[in-house]
Amino acid sequence: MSEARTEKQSKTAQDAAHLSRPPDNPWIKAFRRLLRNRAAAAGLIIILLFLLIGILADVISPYDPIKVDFAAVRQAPTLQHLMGTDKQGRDILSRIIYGTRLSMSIGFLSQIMAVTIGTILGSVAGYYGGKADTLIMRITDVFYAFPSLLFIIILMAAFGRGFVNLLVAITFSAWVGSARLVRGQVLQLKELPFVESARALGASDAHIILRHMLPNVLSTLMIAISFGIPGAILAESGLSFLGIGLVPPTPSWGIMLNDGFAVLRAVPHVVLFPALVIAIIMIAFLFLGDGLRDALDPRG
Amino acid sequence: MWQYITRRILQSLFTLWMLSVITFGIAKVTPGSPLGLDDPELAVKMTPEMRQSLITAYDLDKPIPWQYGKWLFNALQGELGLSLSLRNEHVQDIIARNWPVSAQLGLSAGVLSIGLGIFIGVLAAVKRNTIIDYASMFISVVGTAVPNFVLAIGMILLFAVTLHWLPVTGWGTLDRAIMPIFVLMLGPLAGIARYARASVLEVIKQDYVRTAYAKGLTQRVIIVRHVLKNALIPVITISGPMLAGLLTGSFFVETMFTVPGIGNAFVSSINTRDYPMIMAQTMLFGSLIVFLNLAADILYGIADPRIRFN
Repeated sequence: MSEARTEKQSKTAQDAAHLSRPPDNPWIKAFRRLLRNRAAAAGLIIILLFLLIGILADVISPYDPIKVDFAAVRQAPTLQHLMGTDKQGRDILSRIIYGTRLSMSIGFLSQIMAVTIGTILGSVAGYYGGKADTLIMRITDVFYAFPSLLFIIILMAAFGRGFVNLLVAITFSAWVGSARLVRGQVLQLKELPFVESARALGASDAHIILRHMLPNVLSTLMIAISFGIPGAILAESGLSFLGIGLVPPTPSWGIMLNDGFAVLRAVPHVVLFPALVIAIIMIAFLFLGDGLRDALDPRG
Repeated sequence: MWQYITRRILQSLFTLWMLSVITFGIAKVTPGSPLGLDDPELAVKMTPEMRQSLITAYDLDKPIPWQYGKWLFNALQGELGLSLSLRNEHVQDIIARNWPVSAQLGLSAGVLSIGLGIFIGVLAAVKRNTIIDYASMFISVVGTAVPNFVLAIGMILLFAVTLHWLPVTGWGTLDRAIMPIFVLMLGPLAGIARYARASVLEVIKQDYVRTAYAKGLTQRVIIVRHVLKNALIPVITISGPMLAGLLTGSFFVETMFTVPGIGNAFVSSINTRDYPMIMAQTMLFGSLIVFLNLAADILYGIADPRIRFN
């Protein structure tokens, strides 16, 4: 009995505290929810660490990642070469560090570009409807029906290997998802009273889309980006591994896998370290993405 | 229902047609003629007559829509042209030779991933928060996050290099098939298991399930008769796209384990820029995926009447 009363009292006290405080920013609340999820927090820390490694690659890399040293070929891990060397005597740790910069650049750049394109096309399609909508949606239908990797491969086959081509190919296959997301949300938001009233007050279309609609789409887009980045990193390393992506001796995780796979029986460490790094970063992104989805969309 | 099926079939045909236009267009705008017509070294060796006969043979002097029309017309009759890297062979013959191997690999991986995926997902949901649930979550995290080529490397390092249990290359015997099938199936399996688990947990909360418990039915009967029927319907819709993952997965798995299938052939035709092969295989993969999505949608429409009236 007394327990129930104290519980009730403390609840009222909480309510009062809540009332006296200004309402929390929903983003800060979501961020707190995200950090409370241990897997997501671990994923976030790992990704930040990799970002830092990528940014500081020149500073922390012990060797030149593409410098050939035939005096130190296929060495097992030692104090000089913490992850050993490959068949051309290149330091594997240094190549992984520069590969991190490359993977992160591909992942973030392609998703930023893809989401920008997708948001523009999706909001135009959703807001104005009509012929533009039909055209954009028919195009996304075609893209959506096929695995994006197949599209990237065809584009790479046509335009040749290399960083810029790969970046464009990944971007080109990735805008579709965000275009559909934004269109769907804009279609829903368009019917809501606050948009109606903004229009009644004489707000321009651009103002309504930028100030009233996009902020509402942001959280959905962030979830999409958090799954898009590992997808892009995966596409780069996978295609480079198959010999369709970047050109050797670029320090890319995929190219390192390709080098190591050829000598897998003789010197397993050459393939082992890049494989582990890819597995770790992919799991980190999955945890972060799942956590973001739970934190930003408490209903779902 | 028939109206719904007809609409979906028409949409699928349109999608395939668009894919054929895009594929053909990309092959045409590609810098560097596959026949080496703009290669200065070859151009010196080639007499004007040879050059002309090549251009006429491949219809390069005709307008592009005409070339497209001819390609489509021939393709619909099963004539896919000569391969550029294996000059004496027709593309359809190469595909016919490689196809059965990929079908074996893909079907085994597909059937296993759906069957085991549903089983693991349902079991995890029913035994929620037990060791079984955590083990299945571990499998689905690994299967979802770790790319198949990394998984393949791990398996080869463990089972072939360290333990010497399984062979790495070739096809045709069971021990050779174990690793490729496992690597190929784990991704779709993980996706289906995650989805099935979430779907069962959603259905278990429903009022009619509580009613069934209140009636005194055993848990077994409730799960099998009342929960599974409704929980597995949405799983059908993601099975189509999930199985499409088998296809891109086969590019890696067949190359790494040297399985002589179409995934392997596709990767080599990309490396040699063999356009007739690339186009034919892209259309083949495209048709397969469109068909899988169509089949999943129609099944879904049959299983859940609400979908048809969308």
